[in-house]
Amino acid sequence: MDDLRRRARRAYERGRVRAALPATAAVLPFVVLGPGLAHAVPLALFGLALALGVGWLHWRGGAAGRAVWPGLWAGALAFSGPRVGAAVSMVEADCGLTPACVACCSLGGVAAGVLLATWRRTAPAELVWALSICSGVTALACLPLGGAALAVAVGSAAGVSGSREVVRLARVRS
Amino acid sequence: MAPIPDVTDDLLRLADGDRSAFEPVYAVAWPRVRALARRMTGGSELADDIAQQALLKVFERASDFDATQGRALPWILGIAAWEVRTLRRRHARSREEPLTGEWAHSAPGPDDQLDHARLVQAVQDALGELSPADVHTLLAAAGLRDRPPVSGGTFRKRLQRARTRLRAAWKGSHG
Repeated sequence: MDDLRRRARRAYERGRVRAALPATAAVLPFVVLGPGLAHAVPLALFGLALALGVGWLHWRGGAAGRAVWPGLWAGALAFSGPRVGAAVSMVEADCGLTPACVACCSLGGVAAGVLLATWRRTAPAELVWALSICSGVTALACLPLGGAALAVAVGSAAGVSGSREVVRLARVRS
Repeated sequence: MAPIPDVTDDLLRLADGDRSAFEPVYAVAWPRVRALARRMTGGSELADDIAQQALLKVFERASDFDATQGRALPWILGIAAWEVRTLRRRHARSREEPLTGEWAHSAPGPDDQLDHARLVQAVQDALGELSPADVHTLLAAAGLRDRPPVSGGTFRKRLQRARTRLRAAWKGSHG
């Protein structure tokens, strides 16, 4: 029956790969909605690496696997900041740190930070993984926008710490 | 009678990607899935094959298990029961497929030729009692005629009806 055990183990791994595919596919819209043709090759390469990385983390499981979807959702919020900022500033790719762009990026970062801070985790490592995935998705939007990445990072940190403070105060009062 | 060990925590760990939980889940799941398959198939010789397929399906879906789905064993047996039912139906259908392999290709002796001629005559008699549309459907399913220009679902329904009538005609003349 060792053969059956091996086949069962393979079936389990097959199931895990199948379960990881949606997370891998979820990265693709960010590549499509990224800065566009001006940075097509680095965007495609980074997007592919991120998609494979996310899929691998989901397949592996544990804290990293649990962090994939929260990280992607937070990344979607942070991603929208630079993209909206670029649209508001009416520039194609490099926003050059216009005030409107920085404001949008900071807001996106705060929203992502709030989402991650309110997410119910079971291990501290999950937050680290989720932040890493969120940063990866954000980088897809900020590939040519270095300043925007900084704004998102500062916004995320503010969002996480601010939300934690709100939660702590609420606990103290109750 | 020994109590059944609860593997809910192990299956949760397995669903979370902890491969070390595979062995305890396997050790509890396999004997119970096999017993279920034997009971559901009436102890047929296919029971073990079906049980193995069902077990593979359970492990393929192990990552879908979460705490909201209750205890592990009912979840495992639920998937296994569904799979056993599906495979049992598939095996029952495959018994109705035309003969292939050795039967179709071995060189027949005189007795075989006589049996074959009788069988062909009996089939022709039974087919003679069916409508031309039913005969055409059956021959098309065997690959001896062109398939009628209808959808797959419609063709399957026609084939099912034609087979039912053929079975009835066969029973009418040969018991």
